[in-house]
Amino acid sequence: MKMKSILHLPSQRFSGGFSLIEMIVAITVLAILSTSAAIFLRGPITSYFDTERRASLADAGGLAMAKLGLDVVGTTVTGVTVLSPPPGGGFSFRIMAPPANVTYTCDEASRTLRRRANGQNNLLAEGVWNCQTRRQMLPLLGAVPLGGVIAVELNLRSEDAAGRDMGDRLNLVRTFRVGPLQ
Amino acid sequence: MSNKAEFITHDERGLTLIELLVFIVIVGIAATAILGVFGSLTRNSATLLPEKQAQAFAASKLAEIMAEPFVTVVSRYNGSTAMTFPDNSQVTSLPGYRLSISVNPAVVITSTPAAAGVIPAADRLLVTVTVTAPNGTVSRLRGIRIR
Repeated sequence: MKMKSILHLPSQRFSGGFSLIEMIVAITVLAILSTSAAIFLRGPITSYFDTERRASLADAGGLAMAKLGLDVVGTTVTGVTVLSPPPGGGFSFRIMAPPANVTYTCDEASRTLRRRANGQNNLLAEGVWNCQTRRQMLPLLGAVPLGGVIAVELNLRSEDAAGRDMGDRLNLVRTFRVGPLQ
Repeated sequence: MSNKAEFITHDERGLTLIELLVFIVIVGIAATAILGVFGSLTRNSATLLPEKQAQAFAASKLAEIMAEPFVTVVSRYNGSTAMTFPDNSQVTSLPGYRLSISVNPAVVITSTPAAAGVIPAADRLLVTVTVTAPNGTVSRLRGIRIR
Protein backbone atom coordinates (compact mmCIF):
# COMPACT_ATOMS: atom_id res chain seq x y z
CA MET A 1 0.00 0.00 0.00
CA LYS A 2 2.76 2.38 0.88
CA MET A 3 4.51 1.76 -2.45
CA LYS A 4 1.37 2.45 -4.43
CA SER A 5 0.80 5.77 -2.73
CA ILE A 6 4.29 6.94 -3.58
CA LEU A 7 3.82 5.96 -7.22
CA HIS A 8 0.74 8.13 -7.36
CA LEU A 9 2.53 11.10 -5.91
CA PRO A 10 4.30 12.55 -9.03
CA SER A 11 1.24 12.76 -11.22
CA GLN A 12 -0.63 14.49 -8.45
CA ARG A 13 2.14 17.07 -8.00
CA PHE A 14 2.91 17.84 -11.65
CA SER A 15 -0.61 18.15 -12.85
CA GLY A 16 -0.47 21.69 -11.49
CA GLY A 17 2.28 22.74 -14.02
CA PHE A 18 4.42 25.88 -13.71
CA SER A 19 3.05 29.13 -12.54
CA LEU A 20 3.79 32.24 -14.60
CA ILE A 21 6.05 33.54 -11.83
CA GLU A 22 8.13 30.32 -11.92
CA MET A 23 8.52 30.59 -15.67
CA ILE A 24 9.65 34.21 -15.47
CA VAL A 25 12.14 33.42 -12.71
CA ALA A 26 13.56 30.53 -14.75
CA ILE A 27 13.86 32.68 -17.86
CA THR A 28 15.56 35.49 -15.93
CA VAL A 29 18.06 33.14 -14.31
CA LEU A 30 18.87 31.55 -17.67
CA ALA A 31 19.28 34.98 -19.24
CA ILE A 32 21.72 36.08 -16.52
CA LEU A 33 23.72 32.86 -16.78
CA SER A 34 23.97 32.88 -20.57
CA THR A 35 24.86 36.59 -20.70
CA SER A 36 27.67 36.19 -18.18
CA ALA A 37 28.91 33.08 -19.98
CA ALA A 38 28.95 34.95 -23.29
CA ILE A 39 30.79 37.94 -21.81
CA PHE A 40 33.41 35.91 -19.98
CA LEU A 41 33.98 33.33 -22.73
CA ARG A 42 34.49 35.96 -25.42
CA GLY A 43 37.90 37.01 -24.07
CA PRO A 44 39.46 33.53 -23.93
CA ILE A 45 38.08 32.59 -27.35
CA THR A 46 39.46 35.79 -28.90
CA SER A 47 42.71 35.12 -27.09
CA TYR A 48 42.94 31.65 -28.60
CA PHE A 49 42.70 32.98 -32.15
CA ASP A 50 45.12 35.85 -31.38
CA THR A 51 47.66 33.43 -29.92
CA GLU A 52 47.39 31.08 -32.87
CA ARG A 53 47.84 33.93 -35.35
CA ARG A 54 50.85 35.37 -33.52
CA ALA A 55 52.50 31.98 -33.17
CA SER A 56 52.20 31.26 -36.89
CA LEU A 57 53.51 34.75 -37.70
CA ALA A 58 56.53 34.22 -35.46
CA ASP A 59 57.08 30.74 -36.91
CA ALA A 60 56.90 31.92 -40.52
CA GLY A 61 59.33 34.78 -39.91
CA GLY A 62 61.71 32.64 -37.90
CA LEU A 63 61.81 29.92 -40.54
CA ALA A 64 62.47 32.41 -43.36
CA MET A 65 65.35 33.94 -41.39
CA ALA A 66 66.71 30.50 -40.51
CA LYS A 67 66.76 29.59 -44.21
CA LEU A 68 68.65 32.79 -45.05
CA GLY A 69 71.00 32.04 -42.16
CA LEU A 70 71.78 28.59 -43.59
CA ASP A 71 72.75 30.21 -46.91
CA VAL A 72 75.18 32.70 -45.39
CA VAL A 73 76.59 31.13 -42.22
CA GLY A 74 79.36 28.56 -42.27
CA THR A 75 80.33 29.62 -45.76
CA THR A 76 82.17 32.61 -47.15
CA VAL A 77 79.94 34.87 -49.18
CA THR A 78 82.18 36.06 -51.96
CA GLY A 79 79.76 38.60 -53.34
CA VAL A 80 76.23 39.87 -53.42
CA THR A 81 74.63 41.12 -56.61
CA VAL A 82 71.77 43.51 -56.15
CA LEU A 83 69.17 42.89 -58.84
CA SER A 84 66.40 45.22 -59.95
CA PRO A 85 63.55 45.03 -57.42
CA PRO A 86 60.02 43.88 -58.32
CA PRO A 87 57.83 46.64 -59.81
CA GLY A 88 55.67 46.86 -56.68
CA GLY A 89 58.66 47.55 -54.40
CA GLY A 90 60.90 45.33 -52.32
CA PHE A 91 64.30 43.88 -53.12
CA SER A 92 66.05 41.17 -55.07
CA PHE A 93 69.63 40.07 -54.57
CA ARG A 94 71.82 37.12 -55.42
CA ILE A 95 74.21 35.60 -52.91
CA MET A 96 77.38 34.12 -54.31
CA ALA A 97 78.49 31.52 -51.83
CA PRO A 98 80.16 28.76 -53.85
CA PRO A 99 79.00 26.26 -54.84
CA ALA A 100 75.50 27.71 -54.45
CA ASN A 101 74.10 30.88 -55.96
CA VAL A 102 70.88 31.78 -54.22
CA THR A 103 68.46 34.56 -55.13
CA TYR A 104 66.14 36.15 -52.59
CA THR A 105 63.26 38.25 -53.86
CA CYS A 106 60.89 40.20 -51.69
CA ASP A 107 57.81 41.50 -53.49
CA GLU A 108 55.87 44.10 -51.53
CA ALA A 109 53.00 43.98 -54.03
CA SER A 110 52.24 40.31 -53.38
CA ARG A 111 53.77 40.58 -49.85
CA THR A 112 55.93 37.48 -50.33
CA LEU A 113 59.56 36.49 -49.84
CA ARG A 114 60.85 33.90 -52.30
CA ARG A 115 64.10 31.97 -52.54
CA ARG A 116 65.35 30.71 -55.89
CA ALA A 117 68.14 28.14 -56.08
CA ASN A 118 68.92 25.17 -58.32
CA GLY A 119 65.91 25.89 -60.52
CA GLN A 120 63.51 25.85 -57.59
CA ASN A 121 61.50 28.87 -56.57
CA ASN A 122 60.19 28.49 -53.04
CA LEU A 123 57.84 30.68 -51.04
CA LEU A 124 59.53 31.48 -47.71
CA ALA A 125 57.18 33.97 -46.09
CA GLU A 126 53.86 35.68 -46.62
CA GLY A 127 52.57 38.93 -45.16
CA VAL A 128 55.80 40.86 -45.87
CA TRP A 129 54.46 44.40 -46.03
CA ASN A 130 57.82 46.14 -46.03
CA CYS A 131 61.30 44.84 -46.79
CA GLN A 132 64.68 46.27 -47.64
CA THR A 133 68.38 45.59 -47.72
CA ARG A 134 70.88 47.83 -46.04
CA ARG A 135 74.47 47.77 -47.18
CA GLN A 136 77.53 49.07 -45.49
CA MET A 137 81.06 49.00 -46.78
CA LEU A 138 83.39 48.45 -43.86
CA PRO A 139 86.26 50.94 -43.49
CA LEU A 140 89.76 50.08 -44.56
CA LEU A 141 92.03 48.60 -41.94
CA GLY A 142 95.41 49.91 -43.00
CA ALA A 143 95.46 49.03 -46.69
CA VAL A 144 93.25 45.93 -46.37
CA PRO A 145 89.67 46.26 -47.59
CA LEU A 146 87.39 44.58 -45.07
CA GLY A 147 84.51 43.87 -47.41
CA GLY A 148 80.97 44.77 -46.55
CA VAL A 149 77.96 43.97 -44.44
CA ILE A 150 74.48 43.32 -45.76
CA ALA A 151 71.43 43.56 -43.55
CA VAL A 152 68.18 42.09 -44.81
CA GLU A 153 65.14 43.58 -43.10
CA LEU A 154 61.66 42.07 -43.19
CA ASN A 155 58.57 43.63 -41.68
CA LEU A 156 55.91 40.97 -41.36
CA ARG A 157 52.24 41.27 -40.49
CA SER A 158 49.60 38.67 -39.76
CA GLU A 159 46.87 38.24 -42.34
CA ASP A 160 43.65 36.28 -42.57
CA ALA A 161 42.87 33.90 -45.43
CA ALA A 162 41.69 36.79 -47.62
CA GLY A 163 44.96 38.70 -47.10
CA ARG A 164 43.50 41.33 -44.75
CA ASP A 165 45.76 42.90 -42.13
CA MET A 166 45.09 41.41 -38.67
CA GLY A 167 47.24 43.94 -36.82
CA ASP A 168 50.24 41.95 -35.51
CA ARG A 169 53.72 43.11 -36.50
CA LEU A 170 57.12 41.43 -36.47
CA ASN A 171 60.38 43.07 -37.56
CA LEU A 172 63.23 40.74 -38.49
CA VAL A 173 66.77 41.57 -39.54
CA ARG A 174 69.54 39.25 -40.66
CA THR A 175 73.06 40.59 -41.06
CA PHE A 176 75.89 38.81 -42.84
CA ARG A 177 79.40 39.50 -44.06
CA VAL A 178 80.51 39.68 -47.65
CA GLY A 179 84.14 38.64 -47.81
CA PRO A 180 86.15 36.75 -45.22
CA LEU A 181 85.63 37.41 -41.53
CA GLN A 182 88.32 39.62 -39.99
CA MET B 1 -0.81 6.50 5.92
CA SER B 2 0.86 8.49 8.61
CA ASN B 3 4.09 7.61 6.84
CA LYS B 4 3.00 9.35 3.63
CA ALA B 5 1.91 12.50 5.41
CA GLU B 6 5.28 12.76 7.13
CA PHE B 7 7.15 12.30 3.85
CA ILE B 8 5.30 15.10 2.06
CA THR B 9 5.74 17.55 4.91
CA HIS B 10 9.47 16.91 4.90
CA ASP B 11 9.79 17.29 1.10
CA GLU B 12 8.03 20.62 0.81
CA ARG B 13 9.84 22.49 3.52
CA GLY B 14 12.20 24.06 0.90
CA LEU B 15 15.21 26.31 1.53
CA THR B 16 15.41 29.21 3.90
CA LEU B 17 16.56 32.58 2.62
CA ILE B 18 19.82 32.24 4.58
CA GLU B 19 20.61 28.93 2.90
CA LEU B 20 19.93 30.44 -0.50
CA LEU B 21 22.18 33.43 0.20
CA VAL B 22 25.01 31.20 1.43
CA PHE B 23 24.73 29.16 -1.76
CA ILE B 24 24.81 32.27 -3.96
CA VAL B 25 27.86 33.66 -2.13
CA ILE B 26 29.80 30.39 -2.46
CA VAL B 27 28.98 30.00 -6.13
CA GLY B 28 29.81 33.66 -6.68
CA ILE B 29 33.26 33.29 -5.12
CA ALA B 30 33.98 30.16 -7.14
CA ALA B 31 32.83 31.79 -10.38
CA THR B 32 34.94 34.90 -9.72
CA ALA B 33 38.05 32.78 -9.13
CA ILE B 34 37.54 30.74 -12.31
CA LEU B 35 36.80 33.78 -14.45
CA GLY B 36 39.83 35.55 -12.98
CA VAL B 37 42.01 32.71 -14.26
CA PHE B 38 40.47 33.09 -17.71
CA GLY B 39 41.15 36.82 -17.58
CA SER B 40 44.83 36.40 -16.72
CA LEU B 41 45.20 33.78 -19.48
CA THR B 42 43.77 36.26 -21.95
CA ARG B 43 46.13 39.04 -20.88
CA ASN B 44 49.25 36.86 -20.82
CA SER B 45 48.64 35.44 -24.28
CA ALA B 46 49.40 38.91 -25.66
CA THR B 47 53.02 38.73 -24.43
CA LEU B 48 54.03 36.16 -27.03
CA LEU B 49 54.84 38.57 -29.82
CA PRO B 50 56.90 41.20 -27.90
CA GLU B 51 59.02 38.36 -26.51
CA LYS B 52 59.60 36.90 -29.97
CA GLN B 53 60.33 40.36 -31.35
CA ALA B 54 62.87 41.07 -28.59
CA GLN B 55 64.60 37.74 -29.27
CA ALA B 56 64.67 38.41 -33.02
CA PHE B 57 66.19 41.86 -32.57
CA ALA B 58 68.80 40.55 -30.10
CA ALA B 59 69.71 37.77 -32.57
CA SER B 60 70.08 40.23 -35.46
CA LYS B 61 72.22 42.56 -33.33
CA LEU B 62 74.45 39.68 -32.25
CA ALA B 63 74.82 38.57 -35.89
CA GLU B 64 75.76 42.15 -36.79
CA ILE B 65 78.45 42.25 -34.07
CA MET B 66 79.78 38.86 -35.16
CA ALA B 67 80.18 40.26 -38.69
CA GLU B 68 82.13 43.30 -37.43
CA PRO B 69 85.95 43.23 -37.76
CA PHE B 70 87.42 42.03 -34.47
CA VAL B 71 89.49 45.15 -33.86
CA THR B 72 86.51 47.51 -33.91
CA VAL B 73 84.00 45.40 -31.96
CA VAL B 74 84.81 46.96 -28.58
CA SER B 75 85.01 50.57 -29.74
CA ARG B 76 81.84 50.39 -31.81
CA TYR B 77 79.57 48.25 -29.64
CA ASN B 78 80.68 48.16 -25.98
CA GLY B 79 78.11 50.08 -23.91
CA SER B 80 76.03 50.89 -26.98
CA THR B 81 72.29 51.39 -26.54
CA ALA B 82 71.56 52.72 -30.02
CA MET B 83 68.68 50.99 -31.81
CA THR B 84 70.31 50.97 -35.23
CA PHE B 85 70.75 48.86 -38.33
CA PRO B 86 74.29 47.91 -39.45
CA ASP B 87 74.42 51.05 -41.65
CA ASN B 88 73.74 53.16 -38.50
CA SER B 89 70.25 54.14 -39.63
CA GLN B 90 67.70 54.28 -36.86
CA VAL B 91 65.29 51.38 -36.22
CA THR B 92 61.89 53.07 -36.25
CA SER B 93 59.63 50.02 -36.34
CA LEU B 94 60.28 48.97 -32.71
CA PRO B 95 59.01 51.78 -30.46
CA GLY B 96 59.39 51.04 -26.76
CA TYR B 97 62.14 48.41 -27.15
CA ARG B 98 65.44 49.09 -25.39
CA LEU B 99 68.86 47.68 -26.20
CA SER B 100 72.09 47.39 -24.26
CA ILE B 101 75.31 45.76 -25.38
CA SER B 102 78.40 44.87 -23.40
CA VAL B 103 81.65 43.47 -24.76
CA ASN B 104 84.07 41.95 -22.29
CA PRO B 105 87.11 39.72 -22.46
CA ALA B 106 85.75 36.19 -22.74
CA VAL B 107 86.60 33.74 -20.02
CA VAL B 108 86.76 30.29 -21.53
CA ILE B 109 85.73 27.73 -18.96
CA THR B 110 87.42 24.44 -19.69
CA SER B 111 88.91 21.63 -17.69
CA THR B 112 91.79 21.05 -20.08
CA PRO B 113 94.50 23.75 -20.02
CA ALA B 114 95.67 22.67 -23.47
CA ALA B 115 92.31 23.51 -25.02
CA ALA B 116 92.24 26.88 -23.28
CA GLY B 117 95.55 27.71 -24.89
CA VAL B 118 94.25 27.33 -28.42
CA ILE B 119 92.76 30.81 -28.57
CA PRO B 120 94.71 33.51 -26.67
CA ALA B 121 92.72 35.63 -24.21
CA ALA B 122 93.35 38.74 -26.31
CA ASP B 123 91.63 37.09 -29.26
CA ARG B 124 88.26 36.34 -27.72
CA LEU B 125 85.43 38.61 -26.68
CA LEU B 126 82.21 37.86 -24.85
CA VAL B 127 79.38 39.83 -26.42
CA THR B 128 76.15 40.22 -24.46
CA VAL B 129 73.09 41.71 -26.17
CA THR B 130 70.11 42.56 -23.97
CA VAL B 131 66.78 43.66 -25.41
CA THR B 132 63.91 44.77 -23.18
CA ALA B 133 60.43 44.68 -24.69
CA PRO B 134 57.78 47.34 -23.86
CA ASN B 135 56.07 44.85 -21.54
CA GLY B 136 59.29 44.34 -19.54
CA THR B 137 60.27 40.98 -21.07
CA VAL B 138 64.07 40.73 -21.19
CA SER B 139 65.84 38.72 -23.89
CA ARG B 140 69.57 38.27 -23.44
CA LEU B 141 71.84 36.60 -25.96
CA ARG B 142 75.56 35.92 -25.57
CA GLY B 143 78.13 35.06 -28.17
CA ILE B 144 81.89 34.68 -28.19
CA ARG B 145 83.71 36.51 -30.97
CA ILE B 146 87.13 35.09 -31.74
CA ARG B 147 89.98 36.12 -34.00
